[in-house]
Amino acid sequence: MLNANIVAHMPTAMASIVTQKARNKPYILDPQTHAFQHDIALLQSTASGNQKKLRRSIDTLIRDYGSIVKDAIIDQERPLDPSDLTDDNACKAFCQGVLKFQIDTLSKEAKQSDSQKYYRYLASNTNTPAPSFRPTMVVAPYFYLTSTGLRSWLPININCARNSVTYANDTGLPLAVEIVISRGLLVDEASVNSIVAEYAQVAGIAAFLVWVDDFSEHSASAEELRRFVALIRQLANVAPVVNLYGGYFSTAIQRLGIVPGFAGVTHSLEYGEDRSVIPVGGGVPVAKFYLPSLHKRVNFRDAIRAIRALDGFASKASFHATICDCKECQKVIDDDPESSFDAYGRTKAVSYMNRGRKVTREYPLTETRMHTVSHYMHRKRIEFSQKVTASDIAARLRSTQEQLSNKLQPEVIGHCEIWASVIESLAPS
Amino acid sequence: MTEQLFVSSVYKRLVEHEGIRIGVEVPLLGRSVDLAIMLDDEVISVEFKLKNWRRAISQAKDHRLGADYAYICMPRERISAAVIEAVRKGGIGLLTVDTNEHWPFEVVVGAPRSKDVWPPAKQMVIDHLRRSTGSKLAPRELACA
Repeated sequence: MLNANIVAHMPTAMASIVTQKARNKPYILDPQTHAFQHDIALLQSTASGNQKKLRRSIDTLIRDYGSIVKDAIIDQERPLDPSDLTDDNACKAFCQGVLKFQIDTLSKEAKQSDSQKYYRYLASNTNTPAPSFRPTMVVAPYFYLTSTGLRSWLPININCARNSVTYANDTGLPLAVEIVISRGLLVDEASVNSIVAEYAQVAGIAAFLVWVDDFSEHSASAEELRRFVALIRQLANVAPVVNLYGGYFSTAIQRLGIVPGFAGVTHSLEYGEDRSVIPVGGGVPVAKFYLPSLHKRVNFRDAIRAIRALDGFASKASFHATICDCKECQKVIDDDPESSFDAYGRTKAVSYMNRGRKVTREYPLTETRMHTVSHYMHRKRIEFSQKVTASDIAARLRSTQEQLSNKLQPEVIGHCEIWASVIESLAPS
Repeated sequence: MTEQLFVSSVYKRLVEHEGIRIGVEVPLLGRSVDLAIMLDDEVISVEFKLKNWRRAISQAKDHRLGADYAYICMPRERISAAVIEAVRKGGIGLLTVDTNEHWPFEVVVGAPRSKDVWPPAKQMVIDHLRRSTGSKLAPRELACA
């Protein structure tokens, strides 16, 4: 998944990724149209002289998405309102602009790139067809649905989906519909039923991309997790579903086949297993380690405590047996696992003065990040492909929680029992 | 008095000791130790708090990953029975500031030796302190068995 603002911000670099580093990998571009319904201050940065100005990437998106967005955001300096899109022609034009951006942007950049001449050579001199750099699917414009905004924005979303189906059909690309809802809406069964019922009447949706605002599977209640699975199940009756920002709980549900039609889960590298609709801000990067038995990134201090409790530092063999034997850990952990584990947590201290007081922060080194990201990717690959049973998953989670119960805070390990009981209750007997 | 002044008043007195190895805001596994002292090859951490002793104890427990002895330091008048009990239960020590003596600390509760020390973390603290000035030993009473 690529986000539209990144593509708008650096199209050449993103085209390079698609054509070279991630060659032949399918991609989908999230148009992020919900950004235009929020306070426009979120779309601005502070230019010189403390003047607020639209971010360049947002400006690019607005101009590509068409006059409806431009009129509201740039000319009238206000967010989009549902009334901007109630006129069907306006909605059609908006959908065309959004889909056209997804289809054309990276393709155009790729055609202008240096590698294009090599593809042309391959196409003319070998049987290798010239690649198309179009996305695998296009995503209809969408807006964030909350308990208070549902009645106003849902009809707009539905109309955008309908109009996008027509345009997508013309391009020959399947259409995905992104559903972004608040946590409040997630647990409102009646509202969820109405959302699904509306979308079920739109013919031609090839997939649903689901994003529940700020929904961390690690801190969600059992009821929230059950409601989430129920939402996926209802949508999957219409079209395959992908959870855009999820972690191992979603992976387990998918691997266990609890919801036929639940196609999978996406996230970023170490980040993005949950995401807020309104950006919260980056924060200071800290050294964290993805602890496989917890299926969670924990701060480095907790990782050390946990590994000790799980006897992972006893020997190299013990580390690989009880903690992780992924390719990265096999490279990093040597015969002194306690010392070599340091590679996952090395930082550089940077001190500065803040209001007359010296403040010291530690930033992970570049090589630390490489180790932790590589380890994370290897673990995720294992999780995505592992054959598992519900009882195995539940037993391991409970065992981990028991072993770590006096070593780590309850907030760090509490999800284990919740996941175990929810998965057990949902798995077919 | 602010916590910052609290730390710096003690630091100024410690710095007067010839060659003592001390450091302020010493990074330790994502935390920052208000004051770290090196005694031979042993590391002592001190977390200063005027009021929020629960938070200080939580931080000091984390310091045990890199310090052989972890203390919190509070003004004498803020030390209650509850603080002393919590400190003992937390496996850390408690200091207060002695304004009369040349050495700035009075030990209220001696810290037990940490069983949680992670060697690479302790080495990082030592390396940091070695880059600081000085080499004289701190009084042994801070390192209790």
